[in-house]
Amino acid sequence: MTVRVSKPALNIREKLSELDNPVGNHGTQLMKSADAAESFDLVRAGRKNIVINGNMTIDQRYGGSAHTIPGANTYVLDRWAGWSNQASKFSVQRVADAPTEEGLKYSSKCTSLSAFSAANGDWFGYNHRIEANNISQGLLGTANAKTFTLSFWVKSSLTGSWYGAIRTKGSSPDRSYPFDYTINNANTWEKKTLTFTGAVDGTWGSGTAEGICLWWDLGTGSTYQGDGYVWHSDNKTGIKASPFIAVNGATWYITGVQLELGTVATPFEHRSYGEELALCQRYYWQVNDNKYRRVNGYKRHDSNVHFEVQSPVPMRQAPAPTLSDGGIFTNFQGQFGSTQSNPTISEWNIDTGQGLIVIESNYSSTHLSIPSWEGYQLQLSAEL
Amino acid sequence: MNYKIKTIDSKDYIIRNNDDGSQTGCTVGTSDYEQFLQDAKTIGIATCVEGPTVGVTTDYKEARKAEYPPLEDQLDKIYHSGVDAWKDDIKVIKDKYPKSQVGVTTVAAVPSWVQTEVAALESS
Repeated sequence: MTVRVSKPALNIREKLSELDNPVGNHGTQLMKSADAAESFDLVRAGRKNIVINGNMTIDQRYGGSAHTIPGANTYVLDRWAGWSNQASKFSVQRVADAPTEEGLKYSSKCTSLSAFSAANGDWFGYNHRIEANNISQGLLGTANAKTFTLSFWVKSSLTGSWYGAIRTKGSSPDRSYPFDYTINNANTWEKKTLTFTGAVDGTWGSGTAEGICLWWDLGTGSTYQGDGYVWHSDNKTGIKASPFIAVNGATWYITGVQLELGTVATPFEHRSYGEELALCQRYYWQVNDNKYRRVNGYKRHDSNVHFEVQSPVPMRQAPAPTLSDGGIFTNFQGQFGSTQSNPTISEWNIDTGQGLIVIESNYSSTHLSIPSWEGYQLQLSAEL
Repeated sequence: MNYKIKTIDSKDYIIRNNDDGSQTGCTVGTSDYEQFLQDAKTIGIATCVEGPTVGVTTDYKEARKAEYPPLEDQLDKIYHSGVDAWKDDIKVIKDKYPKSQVGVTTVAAVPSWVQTEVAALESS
């Protein structure tokens, strides 16, 4: 008996061609990587976003209310500050308006409050300052300075060229790197990226000092303008002035801000709410609802009363306390009828986030324990 | 004055009186301290910084008021000992704080380290 076995013809050329198809350029790079470290770097795995609260979720101070920027660097959303030398020219607010592409929910919204004609020496900007400890891996100010990529989502009522700068504090600041970006369509979210190599010289902060500042210009005068995409050895905030401050009612939104090592803008890194809040509380936290108490303070021979303070996480340094409501002293039943003011921090342990706050009280008795201090509003800031 | 120096145990602290009525202790190294130096530089130390309070004399009215016994104790004194005895007690307090005693707050000069810090800022 003869048995005939048949099988379909094999097209060797087609099979070889298929081998090339499923592997894109990035896949090819991965396959060529020499070791795990190189693969890790190509994938951008692990923690990558150096920016804190880049998705604008945390707003401990104002909880979504607008705040007008005075003539000082003023934090509104956590870790984000508006800064101008001119008071009351723009406001900042956290709003539930964000691009959906990367799962973002909130953004920072800046609103121009007048059509202000900036003088040469005026400055207007929105900035994020990064602690030197958190950017030491960039080897800034050395011959081995790394390349970074900054990415962010932005939208504005005004189209055209906008400006910003990467700045280092050093001394006011010591180095700056102006850049520009274009907003193509009004009131439409657009993602922008900037890749830059850190300066190989200059004085850069270390430890808990300011390491680098990301500055989005909102209309700074010509004194602080300079050529783009080069490191200047002085204080530049942009190539030209952004159009914002000159137009009454102009709006500018930003969110999804990510600064990472490397040349590729990878998707925004979402951290858990608790983690992001804890990262923010290294720089600021508050007791603002008049509901909590501190117990067992001590009033000494003068008007000063000492209470222990424990911060939720170790703060960057001994904080600046603000007392917006002095609260009351009680013995858990009756009130002492006193008022409190003028807070200072007399002792602070940076490693544990524990210290002593001293407040003045007009309670007349001295050398005694104060059982309870309650109903106060206290903000503690260790912002850069 | 926007800023007040407060001295505790020979150490100086900076208190900022904010527009909203709150006060901030501008701890060295924070952005609040940086703002203090910036304001002292641009506004002027003499204009925006007040030195530490080194002495407070209480006005005679406030001093007497704080020392008078509670009203019910005074009435009790009159009931049991008579008006003259009560007047004797009250006179001791009045003599202790004569009407010539007015409230005075003595403020020292702004310490020299403030000028040194501001000068360092200006040279940077």
